[in-house]
Amino acid sequence: MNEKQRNNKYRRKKAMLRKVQNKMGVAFFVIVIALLVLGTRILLINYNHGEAYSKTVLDHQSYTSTTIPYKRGQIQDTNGTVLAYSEKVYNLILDPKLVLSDEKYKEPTLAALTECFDLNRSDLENILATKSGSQYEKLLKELTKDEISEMESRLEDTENYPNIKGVWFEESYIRKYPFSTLAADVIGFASAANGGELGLENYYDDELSGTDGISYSYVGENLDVETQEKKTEDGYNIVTTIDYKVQSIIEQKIKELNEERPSKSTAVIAMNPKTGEILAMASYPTFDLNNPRDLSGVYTQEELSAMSDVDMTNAMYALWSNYCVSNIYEPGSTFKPFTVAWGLEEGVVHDGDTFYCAGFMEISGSIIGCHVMSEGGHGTVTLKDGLIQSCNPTMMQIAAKLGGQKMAQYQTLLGFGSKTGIDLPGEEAGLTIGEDMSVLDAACNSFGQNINVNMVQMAAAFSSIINGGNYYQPHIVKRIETSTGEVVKTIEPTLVRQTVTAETSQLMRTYLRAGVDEGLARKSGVTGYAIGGKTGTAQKQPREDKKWVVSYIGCAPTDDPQLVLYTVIDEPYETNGTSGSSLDALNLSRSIYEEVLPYLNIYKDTQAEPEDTSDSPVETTVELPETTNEN
Amino acid sequence: MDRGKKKAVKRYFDYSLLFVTIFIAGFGLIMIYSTSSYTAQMKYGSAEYYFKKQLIFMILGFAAMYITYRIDYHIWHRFAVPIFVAALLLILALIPFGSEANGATRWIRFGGIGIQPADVSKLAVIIMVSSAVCSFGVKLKKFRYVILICIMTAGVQAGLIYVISNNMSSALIVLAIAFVQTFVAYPGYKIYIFLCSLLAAGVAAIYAWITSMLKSGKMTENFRLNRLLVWLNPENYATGKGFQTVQALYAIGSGGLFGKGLGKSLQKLGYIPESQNDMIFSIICEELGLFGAICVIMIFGLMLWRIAHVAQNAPDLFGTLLVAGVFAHIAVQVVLNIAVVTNFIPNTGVSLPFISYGGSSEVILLAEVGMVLNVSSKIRLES
Repeated sequence: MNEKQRNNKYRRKKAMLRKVQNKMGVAFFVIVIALLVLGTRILLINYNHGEAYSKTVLDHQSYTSTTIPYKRGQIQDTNGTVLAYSEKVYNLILDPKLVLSDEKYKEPTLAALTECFDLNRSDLENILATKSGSQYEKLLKELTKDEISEMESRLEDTENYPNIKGVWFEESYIRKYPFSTLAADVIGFASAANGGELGLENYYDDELSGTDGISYSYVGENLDVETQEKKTEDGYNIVTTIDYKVQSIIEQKIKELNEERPSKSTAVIAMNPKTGEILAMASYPTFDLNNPRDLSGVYTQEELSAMSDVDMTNAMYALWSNYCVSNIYEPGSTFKPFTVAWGLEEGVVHDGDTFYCAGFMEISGSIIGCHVMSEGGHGTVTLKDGLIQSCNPTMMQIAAKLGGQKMAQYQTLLGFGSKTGIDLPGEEAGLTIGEDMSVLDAACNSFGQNINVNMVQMAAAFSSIINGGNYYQPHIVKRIETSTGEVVKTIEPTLVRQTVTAETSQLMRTYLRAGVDEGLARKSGVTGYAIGGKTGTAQKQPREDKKWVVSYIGCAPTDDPQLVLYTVIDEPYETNGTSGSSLDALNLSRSIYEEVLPYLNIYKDTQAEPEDTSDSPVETTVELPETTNEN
Repeated sequence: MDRGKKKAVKRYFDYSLLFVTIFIAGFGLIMIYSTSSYTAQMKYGSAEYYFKKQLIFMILGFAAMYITYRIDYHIWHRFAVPIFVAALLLILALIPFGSEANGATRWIRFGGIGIQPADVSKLAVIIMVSSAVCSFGVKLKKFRYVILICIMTAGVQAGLIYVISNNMSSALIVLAIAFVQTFVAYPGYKIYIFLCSLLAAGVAAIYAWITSMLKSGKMTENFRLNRLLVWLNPENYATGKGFQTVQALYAIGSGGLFGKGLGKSLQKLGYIPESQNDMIFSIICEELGLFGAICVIMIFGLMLWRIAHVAQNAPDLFGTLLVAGVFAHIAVQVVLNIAVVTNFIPNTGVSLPFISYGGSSEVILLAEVGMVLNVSSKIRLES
């Protein structure tokens, strides 16, 4: 090959190479076009379907979130005895869709279900057949941990039971009341749907309720799916001032009385007069908090079957209502200590003043009798005797000296006519006539008629006139704690106002003690205890029905009162249409004192001689003239 | 050749290509970790399982790249036939030694490493076609020699791949590589324009036929045809064969402009199975958004531009064709992969070069880039 040929060949090669390399550019251009098209395609997918696809992708994730129910707080008595608590239970859930997703799941799953639970195979087959698309069928409710343990262990044992699918347990809580009927209308009950429906469960619903947790799966930093829980926040526990022992003694005594001598209602409040704390609050009839809609404890089967739905509902609400706060009534003679205290306070009467009782008094043309009217009246009595003998004319004379305006002002001062603000739902304010009351109203008010009160008002007002004149707001919860026991809030006794002077209070204690030692309340006395008390017998409206409310209010010990006991019996045994006496209230109160006072470590004079009170007089009812029916 | 021994000749080296390659490989590794950690945690209890394996292959790949960079590319001309035969034998070795996965036999295992003979095949075809074109020289002006070369090299390899490992996509890629290389080598366009028109007409005819079949309700149980039906209406098959396609579209569509953020894909959590493999681009779209996806496409564009640049400036025909083959290999796979992920073409398993999980393909691709770099180093700068 010569030089020229070589050069030619080289040039030809060069030319071919240039052509080839140009075509390389074409190839690159084609690829660039392809990449542009693909880029546009991605843009269009985002533009046209972006929103829908994003939503679909998010929907993939939602199934992983489940709610974990919180645990409702406890209700405890003053010493920590649990009166209401929530217990974790499990609902058995079947996922028919999952069970049916593979033929090999069905048989082992059904076998395990029928073996571990009281379930019928044909029922399960039926559910699978009719609810094949469902993913949530509640088979059994409120199973305990023990009841589900067998199934749980099988579910975990994937070696021996690999094909049990579509069965899981849903956690929930049920509310339990270990003492069933104890303080039923005070504690109240709660339902899963509505939370607290009554009593403390209702009033403190926000505190008792917690926050549900959520369990959800998410992608952690290691990019594995972690099940994360937003912890549930359990509800707070509330510690009441109720003393389980005092409450149960009182309820036992109420029950014993009503078994022998049934009344329409019997209610008792025990209060600490130094703080306004409710030690016990009981009423009869009562109901089972674990089964609040069961009326069979109160009505016979025949009565129940005769009831309409509306009757039934009304009966339930009547049963559930707390007599001690929601019922208003005319208190009768247990109101007299207030009248005396106001007279002393205002200076219109003094210790040792005398009054004349002719057995009746004529006020504005109406004849108002004393309970000893038929015996010709008490004659001349001192202020103290007027009170302890429950003399109506004495009270009416004090009322006349005070006047309607002062009477009304003092009523307001002691909290009558307005709610006490006790931490229970459904409190009724009561009814007072006000400053423009007539002379007759003032006269009737003086012995506790023509004025409507609730029991807590009476107990709180009475506490203030025997404790030195300090009116404490009555309350029933003293502390709120977290589920682990840390104190969230302490409710201190709230001194609302001064009602009477210490001197008046001192004198009232002396008078009330005399009432038990030598007056009409003698049957409430317990040997060795310095008890002061006053009975009451009131005529209910309408007067012509001759129905009665008998009551007793007292305190112990009188030199330093630690307990105020207020007993009310509405329509006592065999009194409707005839006449009543305070006997039942006195006997009930004494039986309560006998057990509660030693329990409260209240000083007892062991030197005291037992006294026979079996034939001591008691207050009997006084019929009021028709003209006073003007509430 | 004595010209090359002269002193003071400035040699070119395509640093841009090197850095783009390192960038893409590194980015791929990050995406492997992001996409595979969930599956790896579930399957093997270690989130780094796939990441570590891929890292080892990447190191091996860069070592291979350095070796091929240091070897004068003319050597491949001499070893073209032995390599070609070795690749064929490797495919045949699948019959006794292959391990089966997903209903197809594609892997040969040496210890813990799996080799896909189809990947080796691609490299062998690149070298063989370049070598053959150079041997034919001016004869290539006749198109029948082009056809001959294609059949004798790529046709044989692709046929074996398809028959033995039932891997249609790899067979198609092998054919496409040879097609691009011979397109570059053959002087003239008319025949290619004609061929492309024919192909387009064929695709249009098949498309029309399927849609009419679909309307008339004549469904057949043909596997390939079903795949086409899924392609046309993936959402109708969303719970079956169209699942992967639809989930990939969901991933792309839910990314938005800037994506959910690296590592925050929801679709990789079991919805796109083995998302570190062929569907990795959909996760890139979901995590990095439209912006990230366009960036990845642009980086591939940059890489291909650099490779094309080397091809255009290679000192001789063999170098140009060798680089054109590498160009074709990468370009075809990138385009096909993205087209599959975006459901532009029917679903077929093509991995995304440098990014998808896969040991042998990573090593082979990096070795090919090494070859390109060696060709680039033979470019003389005219000063």
